[in-house]
Amino acid sequence: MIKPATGARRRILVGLDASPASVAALDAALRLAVELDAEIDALYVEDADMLRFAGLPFTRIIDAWSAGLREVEPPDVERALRLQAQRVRRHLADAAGSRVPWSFRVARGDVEREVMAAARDADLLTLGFVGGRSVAGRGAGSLARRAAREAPGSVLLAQRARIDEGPVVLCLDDGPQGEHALTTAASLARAHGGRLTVISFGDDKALEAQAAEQLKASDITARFIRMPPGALRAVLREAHDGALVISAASDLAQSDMLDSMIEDCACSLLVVR
Amino acid sequence: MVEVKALAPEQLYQVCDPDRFSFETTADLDDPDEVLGQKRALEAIRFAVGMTRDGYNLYALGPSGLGKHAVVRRIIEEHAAQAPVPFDWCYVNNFADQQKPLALRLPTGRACVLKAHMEQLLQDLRAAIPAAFESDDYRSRKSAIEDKFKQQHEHALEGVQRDARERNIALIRTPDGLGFGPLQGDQVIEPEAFQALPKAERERIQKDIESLQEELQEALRLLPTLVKESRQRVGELNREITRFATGHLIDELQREFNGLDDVRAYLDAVRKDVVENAAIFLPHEEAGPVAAVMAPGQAPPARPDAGMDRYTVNLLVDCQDRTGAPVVYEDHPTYQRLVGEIEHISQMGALTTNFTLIKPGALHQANGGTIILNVRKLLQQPLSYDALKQALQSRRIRIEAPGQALSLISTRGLEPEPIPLDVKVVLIGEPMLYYMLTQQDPEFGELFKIAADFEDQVERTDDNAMLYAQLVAQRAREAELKPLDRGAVARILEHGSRMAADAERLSVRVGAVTDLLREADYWCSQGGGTVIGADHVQTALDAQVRRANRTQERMAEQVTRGTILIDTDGAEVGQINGLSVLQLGSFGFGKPTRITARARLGKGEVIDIEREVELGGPLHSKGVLILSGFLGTRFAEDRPLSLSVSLVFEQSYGGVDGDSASSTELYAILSALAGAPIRQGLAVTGSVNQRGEVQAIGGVNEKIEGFFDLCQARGLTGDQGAMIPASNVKHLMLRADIVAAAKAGQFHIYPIETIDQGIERLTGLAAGERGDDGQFPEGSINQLVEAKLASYTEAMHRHSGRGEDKDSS
Repeated sequence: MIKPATGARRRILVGLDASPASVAALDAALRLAVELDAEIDALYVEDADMLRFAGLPFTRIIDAWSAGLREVEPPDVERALRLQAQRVRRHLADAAGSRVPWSFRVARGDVEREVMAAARDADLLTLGFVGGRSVAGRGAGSLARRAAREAPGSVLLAQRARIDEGPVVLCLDDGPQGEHALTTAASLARAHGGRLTVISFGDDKALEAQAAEQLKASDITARFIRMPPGALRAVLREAHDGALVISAASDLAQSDMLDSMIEDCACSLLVVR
Repeated sequence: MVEVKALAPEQLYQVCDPDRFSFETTADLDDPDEVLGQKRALEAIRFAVGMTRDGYNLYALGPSGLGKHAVVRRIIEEHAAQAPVPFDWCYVNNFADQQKPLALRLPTGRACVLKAHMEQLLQDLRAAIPAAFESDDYRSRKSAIEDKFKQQHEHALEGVQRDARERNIALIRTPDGLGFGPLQGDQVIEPEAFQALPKAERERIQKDIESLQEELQEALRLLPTLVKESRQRVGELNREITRFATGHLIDELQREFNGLDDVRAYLDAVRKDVVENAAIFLPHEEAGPVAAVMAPGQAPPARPDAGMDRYTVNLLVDCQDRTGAPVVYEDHPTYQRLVGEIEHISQMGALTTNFTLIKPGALHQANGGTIILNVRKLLQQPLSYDALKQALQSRRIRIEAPGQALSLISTRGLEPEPIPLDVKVVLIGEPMLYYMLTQQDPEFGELFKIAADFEDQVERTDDNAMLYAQLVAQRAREAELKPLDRGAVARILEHGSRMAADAERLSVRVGAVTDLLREADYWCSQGGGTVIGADHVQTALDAQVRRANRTQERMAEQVTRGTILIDTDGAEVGQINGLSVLQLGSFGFGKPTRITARARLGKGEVIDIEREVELGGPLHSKGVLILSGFLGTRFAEDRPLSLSVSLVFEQSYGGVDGDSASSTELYAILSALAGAPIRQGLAVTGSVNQRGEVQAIGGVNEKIEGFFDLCQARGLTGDQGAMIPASNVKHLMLRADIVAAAKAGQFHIYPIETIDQGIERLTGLAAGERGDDGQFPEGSINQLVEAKLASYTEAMHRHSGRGEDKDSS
């Protein structure tokens, strides 16, 4: 399981910019919070770039649906951001109810910097897979890539609100972080009807046996698949639109491999530390 | 003077001798081979049944209770059993215009096969279509289409983003839309820093941004086209998948209905419609997207089976279990029950309908056969008669709401395709309605060319008596009654004559006969009998009278108590007992009435007091005016009739009509003029003509019985009786107690042919005939009358002379 950094209750930080992906990440975080008995710390960052953009003399905005062009002033952008923050807060309050303790705060500045600074105290950082700046609505943002690599705790890059809907796939790894990844994957699999796909690389039979025994004890039906090291595409195919759980210490989480994975990934990705 | 003799007792009642029958009880008798007395009607019915040309529909007319319905139905059913079984009919959805459902005609028994096959097809489609849409093949092809268009869009946008980055400009996504901001490092430049840039630099950046904005706008405008194209491609894929998944199922069904072009055309339409509406066969969560692609703008179905009604078959007429042509009797011929109706259901507070809610009417059920309707009931129902005529004229059954038929509703409702009609219509009803329709409705004669006119009487011959016995036997069996012995049958036959009011005829109102049988059976059961005898029949008849004669008894009581003055003995001048019949519902009874006449000098007028006070009907007035004619011709041919006679029905407070008392009134006038007293022990009925001949009247039996009851209540003297027209003797079917009294010489019935015969019987004086000298014999009634009239004339002259003298002086 994801370990608490401090105190008894786990803390899940959700980085929000009101994009559809970040709202999905919030919902995914709420589900995990229920599973993990964690609290939600929602951080809405008003992107300083937007405010600067609005202050430029020739600023125009193009409507995404009508392609119409119109002028915009800084107060317009500020008002829009404020309203967006209110909407997200209301959504959080409604969704969390009394089941999950939560807090909501608004920061202004560089999104990456603010989120990464806040992530220092979190057990799990949850972000929308697609970045708020993505105009095409696909591809991970730079924040997601950086968080997966550098965040001190675990990181969840959520593709959709229900990360347990599709198959749950674990890439088996040894060591303490590998063990945490196993327990976290088992926890997700329980919500997915108790089925888990376990991919092991190489020929570490002892590790597989240990994992099998542990999963059996947790009433998880596991399907073991062996793949050659570096079979990234095969792993992603197995997980397709579900959730992939990896240990931050594994080879897959190393810089180049991780970037490739994030680039091609259609599933939610949970990097466990 | 030749005295008219009283009728012999056997002339008062035509007995039916039980011994003329050879059977013991009706259990020994077969059903009659023919319908009693209805030869003419039967010929008409058989002709109507065999005649297949337009307009040869039948109206069976006759009074109620003749058994018309049973006779008509029996003949028609015999014919229908040999006729071919008609086609099946059903309504199906018209996929081209749902407001106009299509009517399908199928060979007998095939419509329910089609319905069952369509239900099975729906089941199969429910399995086949979702399976096709869940297949990996479909998913991957759909993803490929969607990805392709998504990628085109993404590439366009990413191209813009890349161009921007190359010019060190960021594409910013704000809550309100997209914009471009120049970068300084990895951040959008501060407005102050931007202002600090050289003018040329600022202008370059601005130009770049404007160029990028145009590029972005172009990329965004591409999106709706791409989405539309993507949806079209997915729609085509969906149709292809559906066509593949369902084609063989519908092919199989079409093979099943080879040779039925209409059905095959319908199945083709089903095939096309299923392809266009595959979404309704998918689970709810999948139906939305597929429906959105296949029929943009339409909401997905609300419930799992929603929308599938469109493929059901509304089986309207199913003839698979029928043998022969149908014979339908609709006893409540409302508009809807006759031509069918379109029902509605409430959905979300609004009334809606579709082709599955079309309900057949009696005309649909009878199509290819015969429909029997009671004409009175038909006419009582608004629109029904017109709808029937319309259907017969157009030879099609058109189902529409009554409001639409009257053009009261202008909203668009269902317009089911009319169904060709080939039906024989039989209307059953009273003659009055037949004649009314013939006269008032010019179309009626065109549509109902044949009338089956039922007799209500037959001659009382030996053959008919035997048929009557068989009819009684048949009715008893049909009503599950005990058998009747010969005596009972004979008594019923006698009652048949009484119902016909004619000793030489029999009533064929089988309804009344059956009622009498049931009641006799009841009394037989009460007495523990197993065979109905004559006494049971008589008890039933007496009970019928008892149940109905309360008013008669009260009126008779008023006479015996002296409230209403009627003398039954002695003799009075200008006073006579007349006889009338009161009809209360189905029960009629005779009632004696005192009629008086008073004569005085006048201008030759007979004053009918009843007419003067408007209590006399036209026929009564006619009878009275005939009296003036008689008196003038006989007594004042060559001189003025200088009298004034007033006539009155004493203590009569209701209306009087009919001329059956005209002879009675004449006797009273003659008595008054001659001063000859009339015997009050006699009552008189009969009409008279200007020649003094007494003519037949109706209700002779009831009239005699009414006077007899009064005389009997006061005690029969032996001098009492009734005078009736001689031509009414053949109608006598009097009660047994009157026959017995006549036999004992206590009551007499005199058949009268002329006024002279009557006045002689009433006064005991000769009427007198003119001798060679043209004079009536001295002391005769006619002489006394003539003398009286002469005295009036003389007196009139005297009065006139005085008047002239006065005038001349």
